[in-house]
Amino acid sequence: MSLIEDIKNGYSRKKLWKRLAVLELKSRYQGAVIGSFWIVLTLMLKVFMLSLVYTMVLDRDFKEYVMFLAIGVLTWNFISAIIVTSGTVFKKATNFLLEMRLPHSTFVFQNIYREVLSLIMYQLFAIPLVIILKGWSFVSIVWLWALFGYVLIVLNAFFINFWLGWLATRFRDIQPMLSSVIMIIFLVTPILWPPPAEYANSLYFQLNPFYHLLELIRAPILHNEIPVLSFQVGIGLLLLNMAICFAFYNRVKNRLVYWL
Amino acid sequence: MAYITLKGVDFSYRYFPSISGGLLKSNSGLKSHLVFENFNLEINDGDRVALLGVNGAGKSTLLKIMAGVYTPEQGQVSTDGKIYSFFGRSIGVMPQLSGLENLEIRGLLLNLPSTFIQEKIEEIIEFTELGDAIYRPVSTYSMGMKTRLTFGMLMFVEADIMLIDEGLGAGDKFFLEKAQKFIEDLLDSSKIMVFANHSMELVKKFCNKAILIDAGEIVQFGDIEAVISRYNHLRHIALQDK
Repeated sequence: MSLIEDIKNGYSRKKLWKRLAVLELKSRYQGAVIGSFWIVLTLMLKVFMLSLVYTMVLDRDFKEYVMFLAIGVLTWNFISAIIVTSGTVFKKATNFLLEMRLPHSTFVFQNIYREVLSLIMYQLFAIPLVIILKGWSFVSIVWLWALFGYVLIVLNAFFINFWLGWLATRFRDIQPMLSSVIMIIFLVTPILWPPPAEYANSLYFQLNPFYHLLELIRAPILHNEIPVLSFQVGIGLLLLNMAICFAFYNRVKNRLVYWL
Repeated sequence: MAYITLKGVDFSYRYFPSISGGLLKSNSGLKSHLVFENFNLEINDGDRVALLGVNGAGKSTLLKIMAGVYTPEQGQVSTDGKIYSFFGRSIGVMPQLSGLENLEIRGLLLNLPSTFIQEKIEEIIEFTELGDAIYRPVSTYSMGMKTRLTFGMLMFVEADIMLIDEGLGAGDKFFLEKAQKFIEDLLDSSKIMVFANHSMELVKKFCNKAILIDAGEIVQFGDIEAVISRYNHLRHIALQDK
């Protein structure tokens, strides 16, 4: 089976991975009064509290900063969740994979679908927030580019999940490393703080792929701009991630079960 | 016509070492343990085979090779017919989920159509007599209830080859009789069953042949009674040696 067949066969099991993803999401909030709404509530609390503090620290306009933070944080939440959960994507499916032969992509689809559902819930908070703060006149056709941006981020996430999932299953040092690395990336990437205008074009930001992934969403929504360079970086990253998956799939496909 | 054939199969089990090690002594990397070397086996239509052997003889590994979960390093595994593998692990997959949800997941794992799953689930609930308990999380089930649910999962089966490893406890007598009747009917339509279980009572009920394996080699393959007596004899000798 090639990677393409794996993805095709995995996709055809969509009832399975959709159900698993939904049950996983529900079971996280099992017994909680407001259930899955916590996904949105935690984001709202985070954005509100951070906005209070950082508008003071950074001396920014509250309205502008809240929007910058909300869009950045929700996109970052998706990216970081994908990277951190990559480490367990196959490990969690041990019981299934040791019982029958299933396409690897089944569990990648499950992981991505679950996080996309969370992302959609985040939007239920973020989009109305922007409209409330700026009014309907702020909504623009350029926002569609943010939608393309999300498609590009999700595609990247799909392939990263594959290879990072394999890597973390084979090498047990990866999983504990991921959480620390993601925290460092969070602090060095402009998520809480907008890049200072005089350094916006510096290599420090331009070489950070995460900055570009965030700009795919922030530039169209907040500045009504199409981030051409960020799209180029996003497509480049996608090709790289796909190349890694294609290069290693044949080596990994029969071995993954031994590493679980 | 259904069959399972293993020709010249070599297989090593790979695993991560125990949790000992750490800061001063590395425990990284994969270890390898040879389980089968030039292993040959042929199972044909109508065979209901019990896999016997002490713990660690290679029974579960053999079933996983037959199911296509493990790919051998050398040799050929050929099968004909739709395979249903049940290794008794699914019960613990999502213990926080209800029995009903676990059944649904099993149906989806087998890639069955939704309407068929729903119909089958109703049938299973009635057969296993789990009643309202089907809506409770599996983590709250008693051993007997878990056995019933595990058996219920088997009822989805529509396969030519059934591979079953442990999982099925003896359960209560009443249920066991019902289950036997069901399995007998099922086996009339399915063609091959390979069943690994430590309960001689279950094995005798469901199987007509047996394979005794020890340290990755077939000691005996044939009529169930003959193999069981050999197995008991070997166990007796092993106990005396101790």
